[in-house]
Amino acid sequence: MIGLILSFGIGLGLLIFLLLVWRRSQSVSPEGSGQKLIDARHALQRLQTGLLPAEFVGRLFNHEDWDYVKSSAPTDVQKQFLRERKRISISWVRRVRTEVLELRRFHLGQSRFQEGLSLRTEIRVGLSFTSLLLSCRMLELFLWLRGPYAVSRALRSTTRAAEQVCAISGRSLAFLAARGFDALGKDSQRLRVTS
Amino acid sequence: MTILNATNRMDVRRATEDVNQRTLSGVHDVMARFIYLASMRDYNTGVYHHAGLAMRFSEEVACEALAACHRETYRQLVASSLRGMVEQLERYANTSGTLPTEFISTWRVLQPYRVAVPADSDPISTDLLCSNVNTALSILESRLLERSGRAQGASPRPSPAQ
Repeated sequence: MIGLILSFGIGLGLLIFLLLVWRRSQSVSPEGSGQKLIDARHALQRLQTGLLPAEFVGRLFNHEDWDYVKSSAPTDVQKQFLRERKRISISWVRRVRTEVLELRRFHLGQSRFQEGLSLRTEIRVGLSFTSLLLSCRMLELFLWLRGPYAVSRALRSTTRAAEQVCAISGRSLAFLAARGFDALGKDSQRLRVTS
Repeated sequence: MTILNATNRMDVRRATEDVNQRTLSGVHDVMARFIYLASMRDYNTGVYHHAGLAMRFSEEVACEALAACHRETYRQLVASSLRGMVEQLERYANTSGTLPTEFISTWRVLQPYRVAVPADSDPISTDLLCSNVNTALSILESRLLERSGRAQGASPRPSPAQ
């Protein structure tokens, strides 16, 4: 009986192992890798040039605008302004989260291609992503509860964490591009055009 | 989107400087520049046209230069404070040749700033800009109402004999 259970367990383990190997080989196809690289690059670009620049974040959460509205607009305009800013700031943090998820997907799939990446570094990068995603959720909750003008600490820590993740992703993307993954990206684009 | 070679990129930089020095330096407010640059774009093709610039450089280079100026102006406008936005909008309304009340109601209905944004702008920044312009219009409107209320209060009442 014990022998039967043991051989069943070994068989099941082997099956799972083969399934994992198969999934891994599927996910490293040139088209998939190239596409992931392109998606990650676009996500990084959207974060660095669209969502995270200090000029933009500073304007979105700027207290001066709210002070000005309080001093020079009627109550209904003040309420409308606050509603709008709250809505936009929640959309902003959700967009940041979406782009970070895109970068994390890329890291989960591609990190093994980086020869110099130790297990320790891999864990550290994983933790950075997880803590940033958690920060985004917390910030969203704070924005929903308190509005955009009472979240300065949470905002600061989230943007700082996002900048760090962007820097890590930028280095990975540069490393993989140097390893010739750009060619894979072009191949995948060509494949999609011809198919 | 076209891929420019190094020579064209240099030309685009020179053309951008040209637009800034010759044309945009005469338009002081960012809001006015923004509307002006958006008006150079064909809404059907998204291509910017400027006859003089195209003569000096080429159609393609002129288009890229105007697009770059438009993107930069948009970035500046999104970064403008609400106070600055109200002041700019007031000056723009005063130079538009229409009555301020008419200007505000037309902008409320047509929302020209929505179609004036560059093609590749981020939706969140567009949302912020539109929200700021809307608030600025409301503030201008409330100021106008306040002024007209004060003017009515200050004007002499007709005597019963009249």
